Amino acid sequence: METNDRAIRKLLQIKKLETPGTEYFDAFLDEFHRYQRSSLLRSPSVWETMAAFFRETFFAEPRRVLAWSGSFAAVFLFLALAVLQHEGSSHNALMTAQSHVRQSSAEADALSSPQPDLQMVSTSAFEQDFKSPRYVTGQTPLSYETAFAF
Amino acid sequence: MVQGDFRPGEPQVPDEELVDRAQAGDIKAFDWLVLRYKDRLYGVIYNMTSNHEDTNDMLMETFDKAFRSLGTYRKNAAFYTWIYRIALNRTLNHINKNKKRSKDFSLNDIDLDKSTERDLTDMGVLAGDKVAELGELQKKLNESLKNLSDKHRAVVVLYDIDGMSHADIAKTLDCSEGTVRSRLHYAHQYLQKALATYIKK
Amino acid sequence: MRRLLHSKWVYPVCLCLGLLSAVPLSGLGVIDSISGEVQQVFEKVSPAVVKVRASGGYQPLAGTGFFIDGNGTLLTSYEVVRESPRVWIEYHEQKLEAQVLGRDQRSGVALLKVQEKNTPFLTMGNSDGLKIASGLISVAYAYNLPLSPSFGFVKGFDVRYLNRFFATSHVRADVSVCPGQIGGPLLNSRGEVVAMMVLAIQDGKECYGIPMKAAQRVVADIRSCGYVKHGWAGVGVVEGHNPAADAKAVLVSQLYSNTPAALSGLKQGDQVIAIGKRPVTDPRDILDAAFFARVGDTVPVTVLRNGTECKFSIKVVERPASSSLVDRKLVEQGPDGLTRPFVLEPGAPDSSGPAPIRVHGTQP
Repeated sequence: METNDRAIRKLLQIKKLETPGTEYFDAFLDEFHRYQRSSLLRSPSVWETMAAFFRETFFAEPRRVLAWSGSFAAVFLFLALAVLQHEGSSHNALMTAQSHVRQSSAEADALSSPQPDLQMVSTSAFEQDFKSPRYVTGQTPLSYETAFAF
Repeated sequence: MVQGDFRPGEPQVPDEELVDRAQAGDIKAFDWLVLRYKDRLYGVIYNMTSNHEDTNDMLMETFDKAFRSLGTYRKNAAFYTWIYRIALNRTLNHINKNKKRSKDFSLNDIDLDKSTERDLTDMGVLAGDKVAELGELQKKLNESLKNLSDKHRAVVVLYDIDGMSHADIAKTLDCSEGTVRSRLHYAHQYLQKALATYIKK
Repeated sequence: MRRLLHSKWVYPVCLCLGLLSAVPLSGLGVIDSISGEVQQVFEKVSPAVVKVRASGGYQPLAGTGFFIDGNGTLLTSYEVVRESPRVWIEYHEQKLEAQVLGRDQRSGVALLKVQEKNTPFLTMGNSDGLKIASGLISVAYAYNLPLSPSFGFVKGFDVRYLNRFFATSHVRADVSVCPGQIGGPLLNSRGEVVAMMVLAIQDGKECYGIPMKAAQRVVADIRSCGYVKHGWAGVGVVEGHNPAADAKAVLVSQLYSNTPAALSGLKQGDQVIAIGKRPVTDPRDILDAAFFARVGDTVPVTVLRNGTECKFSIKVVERPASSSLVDRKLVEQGPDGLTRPFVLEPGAPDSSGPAPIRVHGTQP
């Protein structure tokens, strides 16, 4: 009985070899981030809120309609141009907007991923030999001592 | 790309600490947890669904749900049983929803290079000359797994393929260890009959 | 109207209005004077702060370091060099190979030396004088960018971060840290270095620094014998609360076997109230007293047991480098209730979880 269990287990190890490949796993984290960002848009409450907003604005206060429609037309035009520029992908407008947001965001955000352009114009003595070092983030714990002892 | 401390042989930051940091707002700490568990969770979900596209979706949803529910994670359970539970719940829901449609397998290819052949013979799975029958075996394995009920497949996947202990499986599936053992016993009996021709004497 | 002008409240009100109008003007001045001070310190210390690179496993490591004397001696964080065989610094736009005089993982400090004369160096400040809200300036290299300053305040002094205890109390500051800045100096307004940045927390918004006094103790050991002799008595303690005095208390929780503590007469439950001449009111006091105790010293420990004071003497021995010091059972029953398995021997199989903590060879 036990030897059969072991034999079954060994056979099942073949399932471990069925992998989608290293490229899939290497790209996984980036894909996950993309998924998270797009899932924010997929949430129905965002559209419902916007629809409710339009309803209220248009029917409740007609005088404001002109002002709002003017500004929304401008936004729509911008997005339409952005979409037309990057044909073929429904995510590109979002990514353009996102990259604009990213570029204009705080310095901390900009520095959260190394920017290749900066490295290329650097005149550091280390550039040749240390093309892409791992900048120590200082997030490793300093100690594994989980007990306070002296 | 997050550059974590994944140098082999050196101390890794424990899960609980990464969770603490993530709960405190350190987003990169959660990224490290994703990197740490993506391979194993992929394996578990894939072995349940035998479909790569579905597995990818489930995996994304699992990490997304885990990220959103970090606030509710209490340290009375190990982080990895908690995230495995999320993955299995998602997967089982998905499987139940799609029971009506008979989905084709979307199997990943087995990488048949020299090192794989060596792995297989090392594992005692096949004698050298039987490697050619691998395609058949793969199909047969997947069919037999599919014929098991979800609950039985889950224990086989977690115990035989992922290598979890009975106790951890019980925690993940929220049942008793006795239930785990009896489901395993039944599943093994079935698999033994189904794979009789391949079991080495 | 005339009555109003002659009212006794006129002059005080006018004075207040005058002061209030002056405040916005002086407010602008405060911002300018802060940045002026930071600029001054930055210009003064820049020449002494350098980039450090170490040959890593699959990727070279990059961080910051600084000179501490005119003979080319530098301090940096252990995390920047780890166990790398080769280390370099960038000095005067040249790549210079540095010799590692010593590196200590427990304290997180590494001491380097380059063959250069008359190197500009940082003056040591008095880290004991740091208080909550003391201003701190950091000067360090983020990524491959030029040297840059940052400014913040001391938020506290901690003996641990999350579940991990430091070797000595560290200063916590809301000075931001970017990757590459670890190993950089934290300076006071006079441009003296009072701490070294070693750990980034809260996604880089805050940091921990090892006080210079502790770093100097490490340097002294490395200079005299090439490595750091950490003291060890064998007493496990836990932070508790003394209801009678309504204050924090430090209680003995374990006595590790085969240690000086086991033979000293101390018992579990004793409340430590003094080490040597230093009264203990806070866990920090114990941690620091232990860190600065020298191997071979005999340390008197005063405890409160059932309301009476008792004195014991413990001879400090050298902390064992091997990990067998920390018994697996003790860690799992640790005072903070941690139950992660603690793998002692490299390669020892452990089936009860996916990521056992593997202890590096030299770590206690």
